[in-house]
Amino acid sequence: MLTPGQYNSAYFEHTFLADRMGVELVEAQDLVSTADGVMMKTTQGLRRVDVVYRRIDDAFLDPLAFDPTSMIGVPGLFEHYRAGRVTIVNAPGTGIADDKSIYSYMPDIIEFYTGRPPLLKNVQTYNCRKPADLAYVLDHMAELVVKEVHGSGGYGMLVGPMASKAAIAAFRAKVKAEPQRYIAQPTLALSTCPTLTDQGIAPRHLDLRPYVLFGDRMRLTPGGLTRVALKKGSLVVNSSQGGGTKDTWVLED
Amino acid sequence: MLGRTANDLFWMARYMERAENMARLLEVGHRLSLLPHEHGLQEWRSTLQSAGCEAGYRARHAELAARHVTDYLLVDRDNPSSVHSCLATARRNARAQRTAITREMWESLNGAWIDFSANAERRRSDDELPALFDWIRERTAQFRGALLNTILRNDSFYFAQLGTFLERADNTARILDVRYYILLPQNELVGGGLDGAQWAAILRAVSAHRSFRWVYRDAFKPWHIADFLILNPQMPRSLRSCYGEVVAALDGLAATYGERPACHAKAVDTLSRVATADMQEIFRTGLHEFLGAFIDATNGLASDIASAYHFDD
Repeated sequence: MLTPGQYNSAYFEHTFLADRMGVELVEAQDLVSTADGVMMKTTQGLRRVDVVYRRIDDAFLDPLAFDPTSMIGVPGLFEHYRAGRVTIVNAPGTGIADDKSIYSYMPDIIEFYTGRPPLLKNVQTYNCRKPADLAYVLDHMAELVVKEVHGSGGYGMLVGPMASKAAIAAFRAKVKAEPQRYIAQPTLALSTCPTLTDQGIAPRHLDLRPYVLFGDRMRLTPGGLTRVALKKGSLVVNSSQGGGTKDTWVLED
Repeated sequence: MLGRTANDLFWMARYMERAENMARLLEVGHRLSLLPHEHGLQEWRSTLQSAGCEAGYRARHAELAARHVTDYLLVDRDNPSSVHSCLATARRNARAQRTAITREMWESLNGAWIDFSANAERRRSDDELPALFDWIRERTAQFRGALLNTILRNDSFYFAQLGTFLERADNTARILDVRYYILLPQNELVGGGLDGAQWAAILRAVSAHRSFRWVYRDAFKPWHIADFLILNPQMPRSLRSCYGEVVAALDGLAATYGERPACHAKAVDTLSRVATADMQEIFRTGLHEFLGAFIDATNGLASDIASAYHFDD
């Protein structure tokens, strides 16, 4: 498991995962590229590595292939990957799924691969790179949630119904300038759940993230990640903005 | 095991041992400075030399002053061997190896670092220093206890042991070397009150003020002090004991990995030198020369071990 190191904000999770998986937690300095493949520096010399579970972004993976200033990547890793001498998990390029505009194409993607329309409907999503969608978004900004396609952690987004006029005007200018960087969706009425607050038990918004494992077959993990917005009225459940988590109980399968 | 893991465990243990030794050296320096004699500043100089920090101190402070020395050895983050730096480095090493150390070890070390960072700055008045020195020894002892009681007896343990005992061997040898001249046999005749205080200081610096009397049942004799700290296998900080532990840890690694790199023979060599020597012979060939050679051999062994187990880069 490849980590950027102890100064990364998710370092604790990296140590936890490596510990539970029983694998070595390595930093770039522990790996070296040789003619035979990617090697790990151990107390007994070099040892061949077959799979790297990387917790660093594509751009930093290999200074010879991508960002040449990366200090947390392994020089030569990508060449071995291309030659099939090492597997990288997640594969380079999978980060594209994090691009929020991909979501607007999901019904088309599902139909393309399965030949059938999706069973679960998408949330209506406006892709601002399309002129008609852009026009609608600019007209209805006060009702919509507008998000940067590369945003994460609840940053770079506007919740229209809760935003001030000034904030909406500022966001409108940004969308107009670079429409391809934004999507928009109707503001959803998130479910609420009784939550312990400083003022006693009160309703707070939450969402549920299910996890699907895809190998020989498709499996839904029993449970999921329930995130809760601890601020009154807030729809931002992200932990980096003070959101919390709740236990998730699956009563029937 | 990753080479970096071996490196971090080695240095984690080594820096915790150094933090403890530093507290003890400071305590002795503080105690001697309270005595009414004209060599007070000279004592602080000896403390700096024993700590291996004289050159660094000179680069930072123009004059020798009690307050500056205490600060430099206790809280100065620019001194890599100050207690604060030792705790910070040990913690950084431990944090990088959260998957290789036990929860007890981590919490003990992390707690010591947090408390020291929060309190040391305001506990440096002369009245409070002894309590602070005690506190450092308590916390480092607690960490050592957590390590001994919870760590698996595998390569993790052996690398931590090597760090502890190479540091301790180096420390005891330095303490002796800085004051070797008061241990020479000819001094026995001239030893006055100040020498008595110095002999006691040496023993206190290795926490052996009382155990010395249990072993030798006698007034301090420089000859016996040297014997106790160099050759006595019962004394847990003697050069002999430290090398016994070093060789035991290397034996453990040999059993674990099924091979014995060349540096093991060097450790066994040094062990047999301190196990078979007698003080008469050491005094004859020169105590200072003996200690100098020992310190060099110990430094050489530490870097040979790092190369042999691939953690030297």
